[in-house]
This record gives sequence, C-alpha cells and structure tokens, in this order.
Amino acid sequence: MVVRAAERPVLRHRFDVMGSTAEVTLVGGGPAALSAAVARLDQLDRRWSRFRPDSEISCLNTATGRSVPMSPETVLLVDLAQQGWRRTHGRYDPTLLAAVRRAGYTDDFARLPADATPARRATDHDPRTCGRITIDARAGTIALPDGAGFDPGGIGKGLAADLVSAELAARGIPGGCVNVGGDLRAWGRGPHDDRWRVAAADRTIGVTDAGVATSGTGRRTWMTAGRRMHHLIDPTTLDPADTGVTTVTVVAPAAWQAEVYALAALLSGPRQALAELRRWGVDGLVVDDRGHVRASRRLRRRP
Amino acid sequence: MARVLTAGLSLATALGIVAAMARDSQRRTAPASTARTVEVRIGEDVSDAEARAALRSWLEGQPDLDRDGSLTVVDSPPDTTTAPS
Repeated sequence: MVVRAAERPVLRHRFDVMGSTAEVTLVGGGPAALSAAVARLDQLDRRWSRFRPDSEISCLNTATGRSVPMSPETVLLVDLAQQGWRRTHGRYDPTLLAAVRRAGYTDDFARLPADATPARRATDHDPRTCGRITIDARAGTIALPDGAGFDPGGIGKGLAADLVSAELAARGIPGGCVNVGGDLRAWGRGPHDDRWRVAAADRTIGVTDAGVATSGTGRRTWMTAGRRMHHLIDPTTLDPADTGVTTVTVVAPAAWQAEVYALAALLSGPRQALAELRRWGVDGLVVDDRGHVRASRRLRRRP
Repeated sequence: MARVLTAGLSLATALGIVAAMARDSQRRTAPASTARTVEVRIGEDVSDAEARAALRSWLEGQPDLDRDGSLTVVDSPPDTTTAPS
C-alpha cells in the first residue's frame, strides 16, 4: 500500500486474486474501504473460480440440466454474460469451456504443466448453447443446458471490478480505480486531476467514469503437445484464436462490457475489429500481429 | 512515514473485520445518478426499484462514441495499466 501526499490521500494496494494481480487505488478513501475491497474480491473469487471444486461456478458446471441456487452476484454474472453473447451475436461465448479444457487450460494457470496433454474427447459445440441458459433471477437459480460448461474467465474479472467500484463509490469515496488483472473500472477524480490515466498498447489514455479491458493472445499461453496455446477460443473453430489480431483494448461504460467487446473484436480480425467497435458504440485500440496499432477516433494521437 | 505506518496498521486490523462482515452480509450498495447515495441488494430480493436501477445503470451504461470530452490520449505518466488478462 502506498500513501502519497496530495490534496486527498491516495491509497493503493496490490494483491493476488482471480489468478492475477489486482490493484485498488482510492483517492480520498480510507484503509477500511480498501480492506472491504480486498475482502469482496476474494469473496467473488471463491464464488466464481472454475478451479475451486466448491465454487458456485463449479457447482453449476457439474449440475447441468438442473436449476441450481446461486448468489445474486453469480446470477448477475451469468445474466450479463448472456447479454454479451447476444450483443456480439455469439462472438463472445462464455459456454466454450469444453474447448478451453481441450486446449489444455485445465487448472489454475500458475499450476499448469509445462506441456499439457490435450483432452482426448473432441468438442462439438452448439452455438445456441448460451441462449439456452435458463436464468430465474426471482428464484435465484440458473440451469445450464445438458452437457454445457460456463467459463467466467475475463468477464468475471471485469464484473468484479465494476461491483467493487460501485460499492466503494456508494461509500462516498470521491475517486478510485479497481483493476483486476488489467480489467479496470475507474470513477471520479484521479490521483492528479479529474481523469484516470491508463497505459494501453503504445499510449496513455485519459478516462473518466469508465471501464477498460484488454484481451490478448500473448498472455496465459502454454504448450499442449508441443504447440503454443492461449485461452481465447474462436467459437467458429473451437481452437485458440489466430485472427491476425494480438490485442484489443476497449473503453466502455463498464469493465464487463469492455472485456466482452475486446474479445469479440479480437475474434473479428484486423480488418473488421475497429468497425465492430464502432458498431457497438465503444472506443478501442487494435494491435495486429505485426505490431501495428489502430485506434478509434478519440484514441488517436494528436498530430 | 508515520502516515504510512498508521494506515498499514489500520488496514491489517480492518481486514479481519471486513472479511467477516463480507461473509455474513448480503446488503450491497451502489451509486445513484444523483449525489445522494441509495442502498441496494444485488439481485431480485431488492425491494427498492430505484436502487436496483442505479446498480443496473452503473453496470449497463450505454456506450456513446460521440460523447466527447471524457476520453482522450494524454501525454503524462499513467496511474494504472490495462493488459491482456
């Protein structure tokens, strides 16, 4: 934790959660609020990790075809994931868990072997699966279709950042940023002025009250049967995506939205990615496999 | 330095308390669009429709590429970093 002299105290704390490093920065908040954020992220990790056998997501994935009671936060997670699937016409698909496992991502990334063994069973994914998830928000239950698997990767970190930010803002903290493994939500004033400055690709962008997330093929890579793999599955091939785009950063009203649109744009390929972001109404940076950065209008460098 | 130590001790003390509270509490809060704060429980057990709407507004803001002024490239050191997760 760092405390710096400023008009308002700036508190920053980094810690490991959700298989990544989180960073919570508060402008004008106190240590109790910082502690609440740490505890809340840990609680969401315990509910949403697919690598914990007692998590709600693990229970959901082992009880397909039946309605399973879930916490309100998990109902929200699955509901928003389904919304993301609809908005991107299936390009973002949280039900590709079997393909992720087949690629070799079968354990917490830190525990993956140097060269994983691919699953023997070939995956056959029905692209309508996500739309068939039954969510009863009033009863607090979710039912996955028979044989389906829900992967909270990505959107879980973004939504966690959104929820914790909302709770901190409601405490009256005038500014803050919750960053979970690069998926972040910032609100209010930043440490230096009324913006939060976020390093993304080859530039720094200033945002106010926004979610920012980056999807990329260069992180969380591993070897399966001698082949380099990553965790971003292309729903059209059921293999790790190879579209010519290596990373996409998106700025959206919320971090979960930014994560959904970033992944969907990456899967669109270098020619379509920016056009898709424009269609979805968000800004972004697209980096292709030759390192060229393309930016939406507001993220272009001034001449 | 004294400020750092004080804050650190407070953090360590508060961590245990807040962790216990988080386990037991279902009550959550979210910002309203106005200055006042509303209290909300996430999910369908929330009776205050306005509070639920506030949380949904926070989570489902509508993107708007033409909303100028809130997003730009800056020439100064970053406060944080986004990266592939």
